Amino acid sequence: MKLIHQLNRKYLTYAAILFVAVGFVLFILLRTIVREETDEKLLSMLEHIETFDPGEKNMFELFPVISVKPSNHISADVIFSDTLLQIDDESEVFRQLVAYRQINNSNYKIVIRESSVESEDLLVSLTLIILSSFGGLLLLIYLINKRISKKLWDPFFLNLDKLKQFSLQSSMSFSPEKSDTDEFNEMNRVLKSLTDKVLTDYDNLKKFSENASHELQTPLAVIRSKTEALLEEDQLSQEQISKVESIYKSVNRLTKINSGLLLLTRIENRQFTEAEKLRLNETIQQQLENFSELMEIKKLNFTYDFQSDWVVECNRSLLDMLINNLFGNAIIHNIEGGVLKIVLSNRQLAFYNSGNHPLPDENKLFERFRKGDRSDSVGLGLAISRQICTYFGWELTYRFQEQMHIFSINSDN
Amino acid sequence: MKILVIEDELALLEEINQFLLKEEYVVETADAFDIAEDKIAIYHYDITIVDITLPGGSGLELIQNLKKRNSDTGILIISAKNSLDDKLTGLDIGADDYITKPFHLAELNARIKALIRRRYFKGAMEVSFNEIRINSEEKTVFVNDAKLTLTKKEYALIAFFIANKNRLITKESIAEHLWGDHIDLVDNFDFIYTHINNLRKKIEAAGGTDYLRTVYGMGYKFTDR
Repeated sequence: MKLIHQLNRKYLTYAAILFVAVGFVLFILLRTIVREETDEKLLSMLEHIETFDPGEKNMFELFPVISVKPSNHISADVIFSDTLLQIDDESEVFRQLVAYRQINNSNYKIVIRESSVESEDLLVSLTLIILSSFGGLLLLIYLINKRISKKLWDPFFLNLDKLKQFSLQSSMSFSPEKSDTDEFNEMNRVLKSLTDKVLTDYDNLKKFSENASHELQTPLAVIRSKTEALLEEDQLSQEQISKVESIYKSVNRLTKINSGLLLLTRIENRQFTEAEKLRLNETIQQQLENFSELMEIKKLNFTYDFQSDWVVECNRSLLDMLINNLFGNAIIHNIEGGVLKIVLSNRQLAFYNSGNHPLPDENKLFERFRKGDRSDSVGLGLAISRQICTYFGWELTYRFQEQMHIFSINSDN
Repeated sequence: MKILVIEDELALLEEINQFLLKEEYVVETADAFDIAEDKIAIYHYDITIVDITLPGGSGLELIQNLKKRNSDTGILIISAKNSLDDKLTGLDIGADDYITKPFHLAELNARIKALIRRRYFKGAMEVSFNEIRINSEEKTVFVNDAKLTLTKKEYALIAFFIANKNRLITKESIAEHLWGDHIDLVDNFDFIYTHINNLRKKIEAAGGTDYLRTVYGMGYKFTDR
């Protein structure tokens, strides 16, 4: 729920409770005041009547307001009460006063009544007026709030949008708009320093990985050349040779891992900026020349289904690498005498190759250091392929269908 | 042939030096920018091998110096950075070739020989090894004057072997030479084995000797010794 709605809802709930309470208290208060007024009025009438002579009949009746009747009872008390009287077939509530007084040496019971209806009416209209003005005020506050808050929150939403667009890849720093609200400015300041820090950290990390990989190249070159030289020596025993051999194999593996990681880092760091218009058909044809001998060796049944060309604007060496990796995989992971099919159409390229079982863990297939059935593989080929595709804005997917491994590249734009 | 090797990593410099001496080149070395600068100023070299990152300056600067003084020098860049920018800049200012660390010495050797051929023999040098003769311009191979029909990879193989004759050539360096450093393909030695077998058969069928020795599972040696 939006903050403004939450605020309004809470605000209205509390205000309603408060108003009901205030209304109730007000009603009680007003009623008490009105009753006291009525009682006072009745008392002052009683005083008037006391100075009055009821006359020879010994009684005076003005129904339903006044009744003076002879009585034997004597009391100094004045009794107030509410009573219901039937007038013209309607019941009406009256406030009545009953007193026993001696006038001209005779005892009388004096009853004075005042209709409550008028005072009730007054009470109700008063309460209504007060409540409706409270309600109006509430509505007004709600509307003003709504209007103001839109204006107040505008800078917040603007900056939120900017933050959504913030990406480490674009390395554009987050620059929030200033607002008049201190809290927002404070948050913006914190966000800005946070994102700046993330950017520098990310940048440093990227630089670090790249530099570290570069720095490793020279020692690797030393180890490699020294072992190669050692292998050429004639006096080595068989045991020594096998030791040097395993050093050599390891350093070669290390070299490949390093250059693979370096490549990944450099793609991530977007260092392949040169782009040119390339036809995928042309690239495939070139690679075909490289691979035709390998396919012959494996006795593969190769078909190239060229439906239409796909013209892309991208980096040539990355594209070569991508096609090379996928093509090479389709040969290496093929079975002897298997099928290899390439299907090219606009915005789609797929490599099919025969296989017995689907690759396990499709989701982890493109992770770094993911190894297939060959333990000598470094496990970076598919990670690099996917990274290149991501860099180009393409999607690389795998599926297994009718005893075929299928790697396909798709582009939406 | 006189070669100057400029490389700041002493262990690597020494190894390249030893390797090239065995190939019977005259080799001089420089392990820092100013030493290299002095040597370039005083002497003439047929081939200069330059590391790009040097203490005291950039190898690219040295290349510019070299080109100003004697433009006929063949220049081979070795760099720890496999970056296209460096490569393009290097080739742009006059370097002939570019090789990335860590390289195989056999690969370096083949590159130097190719460079010498291009620069000093206009590419048309014929290399021969007993009855086998290679024309590097036409990419043809003859055994006792009979022309062999080789595939591209087979030609690349025999040329690589002859450039590195009498040396141990590891499977890894062959793989890299044939397929570049494409990550997962390089390890597939079955392919190399098949290529080599086919090459052997073709040479023998043409009446040539099989000079290829398998060296304890590590690689091969092309030798008549």
